[in-house]
Amino acid sequence: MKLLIITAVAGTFLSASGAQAQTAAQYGIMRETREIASRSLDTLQKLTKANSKAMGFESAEEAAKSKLGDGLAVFVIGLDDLRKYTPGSDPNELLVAADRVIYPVMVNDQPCSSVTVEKTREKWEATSFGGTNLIKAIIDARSAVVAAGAPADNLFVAWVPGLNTYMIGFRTRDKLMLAPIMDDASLKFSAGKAQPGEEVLAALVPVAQQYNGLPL
Amino acid sequence: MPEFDKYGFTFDRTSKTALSWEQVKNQIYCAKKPFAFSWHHNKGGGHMMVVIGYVTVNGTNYVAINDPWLPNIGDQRIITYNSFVSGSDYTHWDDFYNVTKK
Repeated sequence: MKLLIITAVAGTFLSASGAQAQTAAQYGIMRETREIASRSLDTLQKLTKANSKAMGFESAEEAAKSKLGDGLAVFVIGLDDLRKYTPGSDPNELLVAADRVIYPVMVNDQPCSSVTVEKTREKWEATSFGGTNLIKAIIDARSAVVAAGAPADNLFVAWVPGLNTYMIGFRTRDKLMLAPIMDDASLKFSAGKAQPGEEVLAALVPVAQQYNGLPL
Repeated sequence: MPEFDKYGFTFDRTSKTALSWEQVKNQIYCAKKPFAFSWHHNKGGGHMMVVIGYVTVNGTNYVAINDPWLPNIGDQRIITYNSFVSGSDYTHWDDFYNVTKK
């Protein structure tokens, strides 16, 4: 019976469109990285023994009770690509899979900390722990877009590292939508409010073009 | 770039190189001096943060960092020493260390 199910699932993937095949690959990455993130909770607890508050916990005991939340794959938008983006063109072409998945670490169903699993030298490993304020902003934005009707199981993080800009991304009818995680009045960005990807990228183009490239 | 001169500090600087693990320990434990470091993103731009500590857990070396992002809030993270040196989408830029009041 198991073999039949596996065969049926494999057949579904073989006949799927490119987008579905990408989803299948993403599913495999999420499953693999989740196992690594789960194992790394032990490391997180050891790392937080001396500085639990800085790592997002009230105490080491609270850290010991923490659980892994649902991860978000990270896609990068390069600064150089953004500078050349022509408003109206396909924003999907700027998104590059970053081989990185960020997992919230939850206490009482609230995000307190995070674990980032990254592909380094052909293997996945947990490379970063903590980042309390960033993960809270990400999860708040994710909750807002889901409440507004976005598909909860198909969200990702879109990150412009050159500008340190993070957004929640998803697709509706193949249209890319992006929701910034921070308010920015000058760009007319509201945290957790999704806009068409081409509008968001068009707003960021002048910022990218004016930035001198030195470390922020 | 940090304006150490403007505020009366001297410093040493690497060029596209990370401090070694031994140098990290020397700065933090022996000299009691946090130091600034920067990453160069492969597709443009970069980011500067501060190393404030280090630890070894289960044989893996980690550095504790202060990250100025989110704006006006900041964050603290602990990252592997290997990812401090470089990652899949960034290389190491310059480190600013031995920061000392004139």
